[in-house]
Amino acid sequence: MNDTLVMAVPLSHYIAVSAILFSIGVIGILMRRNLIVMFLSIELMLNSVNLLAVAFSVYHNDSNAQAFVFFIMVVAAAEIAVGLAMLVMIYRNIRTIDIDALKQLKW
Amino acid sequence: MGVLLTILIPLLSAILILFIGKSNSQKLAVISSAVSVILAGILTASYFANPITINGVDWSWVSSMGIRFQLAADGVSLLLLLISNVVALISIYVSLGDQNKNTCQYYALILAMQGFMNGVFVAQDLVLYYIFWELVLIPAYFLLLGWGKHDQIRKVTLKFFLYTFLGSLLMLVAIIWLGNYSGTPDFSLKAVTGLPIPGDIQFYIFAAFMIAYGIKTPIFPFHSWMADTYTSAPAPVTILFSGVMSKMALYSIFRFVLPIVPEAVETYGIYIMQLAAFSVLYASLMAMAQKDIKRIFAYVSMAHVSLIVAALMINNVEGTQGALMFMAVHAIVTSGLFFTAHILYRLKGTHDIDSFGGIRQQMPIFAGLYMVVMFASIGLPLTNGFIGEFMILTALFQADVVALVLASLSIVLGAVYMLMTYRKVMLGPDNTSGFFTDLQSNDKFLFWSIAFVIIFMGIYSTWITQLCENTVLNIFQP
Amino acid sequence: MSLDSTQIISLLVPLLPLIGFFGYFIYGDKLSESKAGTIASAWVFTSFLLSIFLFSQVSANGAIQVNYFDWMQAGSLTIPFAFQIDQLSSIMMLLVTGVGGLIHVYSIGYMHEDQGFSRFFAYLNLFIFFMLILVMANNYVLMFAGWEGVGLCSYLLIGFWYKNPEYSAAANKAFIVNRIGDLFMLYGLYMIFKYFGTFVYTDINGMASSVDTAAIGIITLLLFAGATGKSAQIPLHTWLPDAMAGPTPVSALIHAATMVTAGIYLVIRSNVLYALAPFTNEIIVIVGLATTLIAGLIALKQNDIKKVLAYSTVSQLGLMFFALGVGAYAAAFFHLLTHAFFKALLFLGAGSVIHGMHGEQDIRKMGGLSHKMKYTHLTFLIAVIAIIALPPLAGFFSKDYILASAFGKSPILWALGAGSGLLTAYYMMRLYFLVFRGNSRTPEAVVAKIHESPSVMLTPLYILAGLSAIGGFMNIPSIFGGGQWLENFLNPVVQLSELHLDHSTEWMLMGISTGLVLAIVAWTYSKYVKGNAVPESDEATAAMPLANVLAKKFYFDEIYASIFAKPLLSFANGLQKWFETEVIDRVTDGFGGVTMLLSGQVRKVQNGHISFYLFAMVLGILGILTIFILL
Repeated sequence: MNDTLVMAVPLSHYIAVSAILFSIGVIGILMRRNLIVMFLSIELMLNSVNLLAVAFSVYHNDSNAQAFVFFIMVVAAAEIAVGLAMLVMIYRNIRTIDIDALKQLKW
Repeated sequence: MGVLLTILIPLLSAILILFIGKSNSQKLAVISSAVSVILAGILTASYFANPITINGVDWSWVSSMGIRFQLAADGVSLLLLLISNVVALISIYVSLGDQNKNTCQYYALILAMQGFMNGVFVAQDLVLYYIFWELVLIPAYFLLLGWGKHDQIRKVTLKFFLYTFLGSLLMLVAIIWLGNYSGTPDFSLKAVTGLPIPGDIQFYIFAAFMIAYGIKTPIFPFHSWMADTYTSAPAPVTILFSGVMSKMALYSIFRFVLPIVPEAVETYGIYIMQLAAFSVLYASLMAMAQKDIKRIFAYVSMAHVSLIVAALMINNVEGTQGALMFMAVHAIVTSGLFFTAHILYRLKGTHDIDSFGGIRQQMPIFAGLYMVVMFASIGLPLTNGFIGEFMILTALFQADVVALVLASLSIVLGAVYMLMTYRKVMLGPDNTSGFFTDLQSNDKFLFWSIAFVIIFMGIYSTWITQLCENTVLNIFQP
Repeated sequence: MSLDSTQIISLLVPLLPLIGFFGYFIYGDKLSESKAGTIASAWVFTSFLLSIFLFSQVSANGAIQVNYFDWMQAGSLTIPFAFQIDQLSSIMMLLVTGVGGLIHVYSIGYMHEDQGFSRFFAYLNLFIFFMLILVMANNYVLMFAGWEGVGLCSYLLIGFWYKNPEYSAAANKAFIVNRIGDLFMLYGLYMIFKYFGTFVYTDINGMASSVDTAAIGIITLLLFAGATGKSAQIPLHTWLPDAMAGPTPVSALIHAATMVTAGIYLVIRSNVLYALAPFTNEIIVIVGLATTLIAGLIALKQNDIKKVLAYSTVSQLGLMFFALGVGAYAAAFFHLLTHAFFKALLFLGAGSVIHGMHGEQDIRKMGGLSHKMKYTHLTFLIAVIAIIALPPLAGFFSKDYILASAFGKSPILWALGAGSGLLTAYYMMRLYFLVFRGNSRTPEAVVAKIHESPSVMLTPLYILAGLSAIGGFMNIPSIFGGGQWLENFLNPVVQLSELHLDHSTEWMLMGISTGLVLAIVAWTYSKYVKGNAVPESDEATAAMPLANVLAKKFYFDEIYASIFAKPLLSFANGLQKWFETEVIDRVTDGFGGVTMLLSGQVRKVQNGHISFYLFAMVLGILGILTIFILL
């Protein structure tokens, strides 16, 4: 029953939505200068992939992908924790979280 | 085992010396290098008793790539071992009179350099040889950087390092090609010697080797690192550089270039010979234009080693024996010359020849011994300088008259600049307005020994040719 | 290696002076002057005695070959350390040790109270050693060792008073000019090896006829070029007059009697080769004649007592080469010996004068010394008569022999040789009259202090005077009923000359040259003694163009300085300044520079802006995707 609910929407729509979400994430990363917003954009990209993975798993009748989605979410959570910690450290050191202030990353 | 010890003794001493404190470090350095000299002497004596190659160790190392840890010493290796260890002893002995910062590290680096250089002379595997060759560069780099005296010592050191390293990489390419030539990789010297390499490829290998060795020797036009490096390094290190490090390249020409690519040497050797002969002339002219005594001696050294390169390119028994003889000669003479420069530097804290004059009045012994070294360097008969020079030039005449004329002009030019320098520094009225004591204990002993060896080798030289004879004949009459 | 007695004795001859040299480093300045001098002389005299013994051996049994060890050995190149004591070298050994020993004794007096007294004797000992190696060697390379070694000693002794910068400059000049000659000589040696494969005299002489004569011509020419350096022939003669900076006994021993004759010795030693090289002989004649005449002309205008003698030496050496060129080897050697006697005597006499005058060397400030220094005067007079070749003193016989040989070739050569003899007569008589006769021109204060030299200096003068007087009897020509002992003795080494002049011609030649010399003696006597003429001051000379050219020695030094020495130095400096730093260093640093430049451009991409990196990353991914999709 549930399957049919998911299958009520054609696969191409899922692909389109996740592609749109992913693009929004990419554009967010490229356009925004605030590190927190950039993190949000990364999450958006991750979740668009998750959405796609779930959709495919239903259409292919393979539950492995759904398990992987959970893994991805856990890793993403851990990554956010580390990332935010770094962000805090950066803020403490240079009093801003504007990405353009970080210019030391060269040579 | 004795061959392995020649490497291990200096290296282990180098490690040990880091932990025993300043006052003992000098003693240990002297003892270690003296033991090395004695060891080389014993090996040489045993070779004279039974002239076959002394096998050291032969361990499997990186078997998948055909690399073995393989050491052995034949006559020529023994000669170079003698040179290397004697010069290292001289170098350490010269250092004793100095107040160096970081004494322990200094001696450790010198001993390490000695050990690696010994390794170059006994390695029988091309990759092992290459590793030793590059390892030498590490202590050399730090000795120059840490103890050198120059406004831009970093720049000088960087130039020295990169320049010689560039050459070595070309050599590495040639070595890798040679090791894989037969299909199954095998880098041992035996396997590589006498490969039927086609003519055009011989040329590339020859070129790669000769650029590497031309830089290290150095010959014109690859010499631009030399003058600054030799001048700014502390004298004991300069003695090691010019006395042994340049010999590594000359030895390698003998050991690798001549037997591995004989056809290329036959065909293209003449050009290198003429280039090297020109290099002799060029270095002599350069020496004439210098005001800094150490720089003069640096160019003198360059003239001599260039002559050896020319001699090796003659590619016959006489020329090669002359070259080997002159290697031994040059090691002693150049040590004496830089020691002289160092003594002068201690007197006045400068190398500028114009600030000296009339030193002979206060230092007659030094004046006399300096004169012996000077005449050895311009090749006066009954000093060892003549023996090597005469053998080489005689052979060179038979090979190529153009090269002979270029190289032999230094006989006159050498006399000109050496005598001019001696006159400016030692003779004339005393205008130094300082009080100098003549050579004392250590320095005196060392300088007398150098002078003695110079005269001794000048009269009785055939033991060197006998030592090298079998190896040389092997190359030319396999 | 076991040695028999001949080997040991032969080795001892050069070794004893060498021991004397090394002894200096042991006892050095600890001994008193007289002891140090005596010991040094004793070494040389012992060598002399041993040389006499070897000489007697040689004259009884012929040449001795002694082989010690191989000096150099590599492939086909073998150079033995071996001696060949034959007729030629045994006489040279006697000359070197004999005259050398006398000069050692003389120096005890002359160098009295000099700071470097024992050092001086050490150098003299070393010189004797090298000179003996030179004459005793059995091959060219060992001879070259002695050849360069005497050059070294010459360098050391010219610059003996090293505090004076001019003296050390003269020493450098001597060594360097000699080195130029030696370079050519080395070329000659290399060629010898190429064509003969050996350096041993006897082997080479044996093979000479089978070797390409063109090669022999070049070899002999190169060896002769070496000889021009050591024996101060034009164009390499300029060092010898400057070499007078050394103490006078050195001038006598090295720059008159022995070392400078090494070139003559070399040619005589190689006479088998020279006999096969007619072109070289012509060159030798030309160079010898030019030297003897030019040096003679220069000597006319010199006012320093030692400079006159120096140019006289150059001139006499030129005469010897002239003799060699016309093939009169025995005559040249004969003149070498007699010249050694009387020129050493002249220098020692001059030294005695300088010693007595407390360092004065200008003959314009001398005069009338014959009363003050009777014995010096007497011996000097004998030497002068010998050198201007008046019978029956030594110089007459030897010079006459040379001139007769020259006449055998061509009367013009005879006339030029005789002309050189006239120049000799003029400047020697001028010197003699100005120094010893006429009125004293010395300041009063100095006159009082003039003294005769001590007997330690006079004794060698007597002996040399005796030799100068009777030395000519070694080789009395048949015209005087003599047996030409020297020439016959040398026969194994040097072929007998094929000179056949009839006696009337010989009498005529002798008569003409002797008569002309006597005329010159009379002329100079009337000019300098009767007329009390004194050479004009340097300023006056400068005003006379012709005389000035002579006084300035034909400007050889100036010409060489401006075409060789200075350009060489400025060329070296220019090379350093422009090529070494501007080209070599620039190019080398340029490699580094170009690398830095390129990498500098490339690394601008890494500007540190994280957003730029992200943008680049996205762009890259899109690019890769596009490529995949398109393919």
